[in-house]
Amino acid sequence: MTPSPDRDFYAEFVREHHSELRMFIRCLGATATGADDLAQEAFVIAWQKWSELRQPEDALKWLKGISYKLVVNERRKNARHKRILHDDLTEVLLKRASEKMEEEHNPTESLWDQHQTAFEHCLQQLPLHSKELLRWRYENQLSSQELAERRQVSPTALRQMLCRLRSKLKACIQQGSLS
Amino acid sequence: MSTNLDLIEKVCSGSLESQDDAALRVALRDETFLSELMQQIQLDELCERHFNPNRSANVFCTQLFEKVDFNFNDSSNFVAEVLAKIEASKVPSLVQPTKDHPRLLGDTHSPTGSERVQHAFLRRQMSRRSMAGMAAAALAAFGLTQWALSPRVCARLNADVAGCRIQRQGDWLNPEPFMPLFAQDVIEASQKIIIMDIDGVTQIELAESSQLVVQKPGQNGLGSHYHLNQGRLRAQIAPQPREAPMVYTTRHARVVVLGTIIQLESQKNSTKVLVERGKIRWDNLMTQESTILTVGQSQEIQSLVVASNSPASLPSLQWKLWANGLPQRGDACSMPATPKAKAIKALCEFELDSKVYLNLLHNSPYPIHLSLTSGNQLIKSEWTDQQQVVLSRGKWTLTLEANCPAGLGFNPQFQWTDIP
Repeated sequence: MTPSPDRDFYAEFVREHHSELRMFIRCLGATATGADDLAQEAFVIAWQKWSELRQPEDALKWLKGISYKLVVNERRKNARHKRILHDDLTEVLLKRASEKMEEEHNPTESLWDQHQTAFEHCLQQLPLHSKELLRWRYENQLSSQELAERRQVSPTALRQMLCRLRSKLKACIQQGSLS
Repeated sequence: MSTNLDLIEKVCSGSLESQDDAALRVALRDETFLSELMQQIQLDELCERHFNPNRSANVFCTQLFEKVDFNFNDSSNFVAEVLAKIEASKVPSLVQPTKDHPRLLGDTHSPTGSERVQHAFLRRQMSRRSMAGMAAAALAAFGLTQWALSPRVCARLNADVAGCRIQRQGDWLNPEPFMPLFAQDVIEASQKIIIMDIDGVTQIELAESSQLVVQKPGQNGLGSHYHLNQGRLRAQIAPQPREAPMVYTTRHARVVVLGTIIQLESQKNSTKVLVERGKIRWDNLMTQESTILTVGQSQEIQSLVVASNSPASLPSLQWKLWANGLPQRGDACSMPATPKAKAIKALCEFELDSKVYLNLLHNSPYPIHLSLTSGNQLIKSEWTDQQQVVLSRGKWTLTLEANCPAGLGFNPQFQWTDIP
């Protein structure tokens, strides 16, 4: 039994883990907006059931367990109300996450979460037009169709371009972490 | 591999289509694809966080600690609402003052408060449905499940409650600072007090010698209804949704507001309104006429006043139910409720052979004018809610008049006792 946290403590807890939890939920196949909602719900449930937490140091793992169950429940919902992208995708990702949760203390593949600084640095290394493409995609929330029109390429080519850009970032981050 | 990259980006951007089903099912069997997908999702999140920090700084986390209702129908109002609620410390948990906005707060993740809430609005526009679930969950989180089952708080008193008393379910209570007010609470002020509506922004200044009834809470904290029994109030009203405006009534009028500042005065025989800012709809309950009033405009309704000794302007109605022309114990002169407002005049003539107490009772939320004539002399002529008169031997003419609002009936009753 863990005594109920005070609000300041819990606010800090939310602040600290919100991003990681959101990322975990997205890795279970939730939509971007669905991840926000599911993370919120997980925090709410954790707040309610805090006394059931056995080890306070396991709070994040516990929170992820709650989120996991929420995503499982999403699969049972009517398609219109689902906050996941695709049933089959979520099924595979849930299975994968379940295995990881059993194996590891920290169930997310949160390599990148630990390298925020490296990420920022690597982003600065990208050519201007690549940064611009990322800005349009994330900051201006343009669809691949709109981006493709701007770049005068096909949407498919544009999507591949974005993936390759992120892969470049990944390589840069890994290089940084190795060095 | 190219196909997979295309699929991965579609997953990241949430743009999977049914035509991708087959390719996705095949790809999901490939561990390399899954591993790449995981990493790409995480990179996508990092990019999202970098370019759009507001997204991961979910403003609605702030709802964990206090129930906050928002109007999601209007983006400009929404932002104002959130900011107002932040300022009113209704959204206290994850917000910190920022350098640029020392009063309007931003959270630790986002550059400014306004951008943050704008973003939250846009996101909510995309996912309206989940808001309801989340708000419900947030409610539960505060341990407010019981609150939801119990009467809903409509408003609160302010810190200064001197000179105020509250009637709740027939009992008079001594109010405490910030005491919650529920539907049907009657607030009586012997000196000026301030009432905060549950929307967190609307302030009602209730003047001395005034009485206000909280009629019903609004949906989602907006659109509350109040009835000013007597006295004056000045209300600074937060923007309300068009489909659920805030409503103030008096015995003569209804004021429908979408967000404005008004002064409202209700006396037995009249109701006055002045619009200081914004626009209201003014419904005259006596005539069923509606007028739109804007800044600086005022309006007054006078009740039907029967001048003494002057012939009544209304056609009189001999009340058949008063057997033998004499009100008996429990007699009533009733008219059923009708959709239209109506002026009513009920008259009876009777002769008494002894002195009696005659009690007129009526529970209608509008006044009744009673006049008593003995011979050609007008003995009594006044507006009354309850009246006890002593009638001596002789011939009497009793007339009741009222402006009966739409939807309400007319049902005064008499009780009378002999005076030994």
